[in-house]
Amino acid sequence: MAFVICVLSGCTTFEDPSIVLDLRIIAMTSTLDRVVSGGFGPEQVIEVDLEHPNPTEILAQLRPTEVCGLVADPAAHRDLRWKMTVCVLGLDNRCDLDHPVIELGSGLLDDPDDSETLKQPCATLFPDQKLLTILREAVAANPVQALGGIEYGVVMEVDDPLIPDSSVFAAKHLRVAGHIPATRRANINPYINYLDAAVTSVGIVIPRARCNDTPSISFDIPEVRGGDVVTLFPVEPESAREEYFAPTLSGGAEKITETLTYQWLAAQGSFSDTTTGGGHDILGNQSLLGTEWRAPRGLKEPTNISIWMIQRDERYGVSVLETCIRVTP
Amino acid sequence: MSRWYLAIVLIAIWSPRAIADDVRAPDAPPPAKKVNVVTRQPKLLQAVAPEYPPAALAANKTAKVKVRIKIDAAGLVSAVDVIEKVGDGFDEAAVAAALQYIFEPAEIDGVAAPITVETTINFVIEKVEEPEPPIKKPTTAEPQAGPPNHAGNMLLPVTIEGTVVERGTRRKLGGVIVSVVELGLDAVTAEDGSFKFHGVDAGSYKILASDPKFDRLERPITLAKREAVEVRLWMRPKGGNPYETVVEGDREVLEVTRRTLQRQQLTSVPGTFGDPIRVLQTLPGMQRAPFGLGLLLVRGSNPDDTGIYVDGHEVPSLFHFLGGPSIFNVEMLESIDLYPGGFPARFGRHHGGAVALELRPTKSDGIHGAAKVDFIDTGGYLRAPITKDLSFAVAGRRSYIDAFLGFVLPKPSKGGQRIVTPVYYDYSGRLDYNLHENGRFSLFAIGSSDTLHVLDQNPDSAVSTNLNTSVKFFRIIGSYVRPFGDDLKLTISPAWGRDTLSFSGAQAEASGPFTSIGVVNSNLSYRARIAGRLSKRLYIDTGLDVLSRITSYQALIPIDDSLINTNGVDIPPSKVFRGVSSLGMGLHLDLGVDVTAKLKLVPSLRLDSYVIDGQDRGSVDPRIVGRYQLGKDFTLKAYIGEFSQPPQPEAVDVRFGNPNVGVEHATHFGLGYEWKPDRLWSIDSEIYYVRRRNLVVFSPDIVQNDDGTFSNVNFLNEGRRNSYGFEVLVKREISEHAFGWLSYTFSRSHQRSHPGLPYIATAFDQPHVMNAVASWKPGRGFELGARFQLASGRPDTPVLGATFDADSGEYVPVRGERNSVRIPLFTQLDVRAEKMWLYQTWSLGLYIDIINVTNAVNTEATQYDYRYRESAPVSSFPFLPTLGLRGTW
Repeated sequence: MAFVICVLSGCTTFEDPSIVLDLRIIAMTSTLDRVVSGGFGPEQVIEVDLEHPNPTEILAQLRPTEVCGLVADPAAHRDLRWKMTVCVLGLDNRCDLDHPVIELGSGLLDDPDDSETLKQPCATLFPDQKLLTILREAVAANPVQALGGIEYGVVMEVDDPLIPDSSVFAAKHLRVAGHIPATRRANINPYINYLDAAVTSVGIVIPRARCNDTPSISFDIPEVRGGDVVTLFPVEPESAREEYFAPTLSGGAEKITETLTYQWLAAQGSFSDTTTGGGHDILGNQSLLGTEWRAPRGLKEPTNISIWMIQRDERYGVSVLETCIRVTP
Repeated sequence: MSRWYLAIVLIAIWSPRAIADDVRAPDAPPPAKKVNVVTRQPKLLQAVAPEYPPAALAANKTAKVKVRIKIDAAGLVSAVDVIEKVGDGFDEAAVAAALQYIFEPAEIDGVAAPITVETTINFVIEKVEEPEPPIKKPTTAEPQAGPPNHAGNMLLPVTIEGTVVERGTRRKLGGVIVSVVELGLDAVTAEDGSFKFHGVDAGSYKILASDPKFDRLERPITLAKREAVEVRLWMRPKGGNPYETVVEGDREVLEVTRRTLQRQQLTSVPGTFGDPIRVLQTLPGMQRAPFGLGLLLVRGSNPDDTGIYVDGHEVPSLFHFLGGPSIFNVEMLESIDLYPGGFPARFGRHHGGAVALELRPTKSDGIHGAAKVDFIDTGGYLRAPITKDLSFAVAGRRSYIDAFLGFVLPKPSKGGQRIVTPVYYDYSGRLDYNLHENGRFSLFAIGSSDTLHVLDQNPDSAVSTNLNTSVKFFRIIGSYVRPFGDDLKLTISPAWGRDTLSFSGAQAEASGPFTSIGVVNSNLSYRARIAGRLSKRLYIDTGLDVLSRITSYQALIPIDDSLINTNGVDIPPSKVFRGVSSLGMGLHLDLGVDVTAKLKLVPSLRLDSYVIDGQDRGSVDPRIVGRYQLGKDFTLKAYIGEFSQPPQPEAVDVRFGNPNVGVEHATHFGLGYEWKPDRLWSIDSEIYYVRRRNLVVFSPDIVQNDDGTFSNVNFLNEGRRNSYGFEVLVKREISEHAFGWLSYTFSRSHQRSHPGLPYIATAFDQPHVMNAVASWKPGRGFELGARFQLASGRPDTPVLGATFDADSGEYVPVRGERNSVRIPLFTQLDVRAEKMWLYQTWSLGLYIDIINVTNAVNTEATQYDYRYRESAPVSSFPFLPTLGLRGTW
């Protein structure tokens, strides 16, 4: 019925979410001390007595976490203001104001697209009494009582200080878990070896670089013509998909292999698939990892176009690959 | 010599005296100021013979009843008052008869106008000397008086006989007065339309047939010597359209509010696609369902809270899926009753409202049928006798939307394939065996099927689709009805049914499904009911009601509900088999007590016991209804009662539900009145309050078990919902030219899902709902109708912004207070025009039904872009005409 009505009355179309037109937070990542996590990731696994947790012991095991945001703002030439806060997240991924909120960091950000040496906004969360308070609050708010891990979050706000109500928000989940099950190991962020690319079956090299980075011997910006279709395929190392043990309600554990998803974004053009990888859909379709990006037509002059690939696992692990392709008319 | 008596009623004495204060007779002296002049007296076109009160007849009593008759500008009687009461039942009989008179209207200043007249109806008993038999001597076995459809000298042979039938439908018409004008002989046709005149001599005569609902029919006949003639009188309905009314006088009122739709109202209301069940949605107490869906939203309740009963047996749904038409063919239905609250105890296991469909018995009165064709589907109905007492009816319908979809859908890319085939069909059949004084046996079966197959394959994409959805429904209902004495009736009715729902999804290339769900409900129910009048003051409706249901689920789904957190985890599908068995037994009793001539109380009790998956549950629901006749046309009514509803099968499942959830309860309160200012108009109004408690609500909580493991709670009896409102229905009954109603409902409904949480508006809360329905027959077979709907928008939750979830890549909306805003007001005007051609044995109707004739943009929901910055309304139906053809014979 909804379909029939949509056809009869004209369906609405909105802007393409894979094309970054204006101010957006594209990704947030978190990194931990490799000694603690066995790699960089969003999760810490510690020894804790759930019946009688000892705050001092918990604090002693926790390590600093650095959280960074990736911001894009292609439509404007301006500096931005940013702020990060740590808190228990509500259903809307904003800080639940019924619980304590810690300001993690703030500052000004050079125009993310124009600046030659961009310093992305990052802040470090140090283990202290304030974090312990948030963890306690998170345990109280978590019905599973920390069996799956104590979840909290970092909320990032970015705005133009000169324009009221111009804020955009993003949230990144973090987790502290006990060794439940005993075999539990902290998740690390996923990664890829490189991005395989081709235009009409002819391979091109995709650098890990911003469009405003100065070209050097190590990379050059690949060039395509308007309307060309660029095939993009992430090449994963064998160890990219971790195996982990998820706790069950009966007190046991289930061994699961991570699934990795890829989100594709660009400042212009269009993608055949905006999200690839991931699990099966409801029909059993296993989507391909790669996608196709069609370069925009009708440009008046050669234009460098940013492309981002966000790689994620289901345990809050995130990594980002940013690249640039020059499109000639 | 034996004598016999003929009770006759003299009504032809017609010397009316017009009464109108501001009207003067034509010959009166001119007044100082202008007054209106009666330029034509009303003329009696048709009288109806009153029934002689049996007791008075037995006592040999006669009477003269003076009555004052109010005649409207159309010549119809709007009210009758007895001027001097004579008692013995004569007054009531006179009023009942006079109400059926038809006049040529009076004219005042040359214009048809209402007027009041006085006349006398005489009841006399005429002694008739037994005539000498011309041929043979009558025996004592011969009747002393002929039945009403016989006239003339009963001892002489029948020389003129015939049948009165409706033109277009061949329906045999009872109660029509047939006269041999020259002889002054009148007969009133029997139920089978037959009439007989005895002993009419050879000659030429004029036969006159008259009935208020039909055009007067005159037909000349010539009768030769020693000859008998048989005639068939085809009567044309007034206005050119056949219509019929349902006589409700013999239905006992055991409830406060019952809104009944008559057969003509079921198919000719604009904007309902000729769908009888959708017409219910125009009545007071019903909230508007979004997108024209067939949801029954009664007084703030959820759709599942309203029970749907077919001849007393519960059915899960009335509609084909995705907003399709109702499953029931209108020709199979006798009536549809909506009980928005305080309903009788025989309807159990629901605490919202009740919708009762009464099936139409078949008759051995010839072969009849109906067919309908429009853009969406086509269907037909056939009724025929097998023997004199055995008859059957069958009906069926099939859609052909699939044939048109190909033109609307986007074409697949080269080498690809796209098939979308939504198909629905339904069928029903009924067999009736008339056992006469031993009752009636019937067997009714109905089934429907909705299937949707989607196949989408694109060589350029790794993703393909093969979806199969199927919803099927079947019921078979047996019924044996046996009368006991004059008023008591026993009904025994078993039923069996099966409802299946299945979905399977796979890649187009796959050999089997990747995901599937199958739900099968097998129902066995049994009802035994005794209803009728025990004494002059006591009416009883009691019985037993058993429902056994086995629900089984079979699924192939990617779910692992033992994992603490399954977000984003790719779990391969696994097979799930679940089942729930339930047995419900109910005893119901409604006792109608006429405490005084004006006060009626109906105490009721319903006892229910359930065994669901081995666990006992029960409910005791006492209720009382009171009706007090404050005036001749004005009745006050009130009720209070308990209603209960068992939890849905999935809510008590050991794995996915909570086996400990109990029965939901509600208390209904209501107070209202019914006012019938005249024969055609009525006003029914009521204020109500419904308090629902122990509602089953979802809970995300996890609890620790005694053994240290954890479990999902899933469902709890913690919900509460309160509804209150005011309803009014102003209705004009079906008449020769028009029918219609105006319904208005003010309603508020708030709910609380868990203790401590605030009450918020429910998803379907609509403070104001108004429906105006009007249908007019200008004549020559035309019928024009319109429906105007106005309804408050449903509650909505505002979106204040969004947060990018960096771990999923999706935006999460930041919502304001739940259900704190409303979508805009809904207004829609639908119109319908039909032209009917009446032929001797059949009729043909061509209609156009236009939904939203003004093309108003009505918001049903709001859609957002990926980051919730932009929004657009999801609109309801645009201007949508439907052309159709229907015929009956």
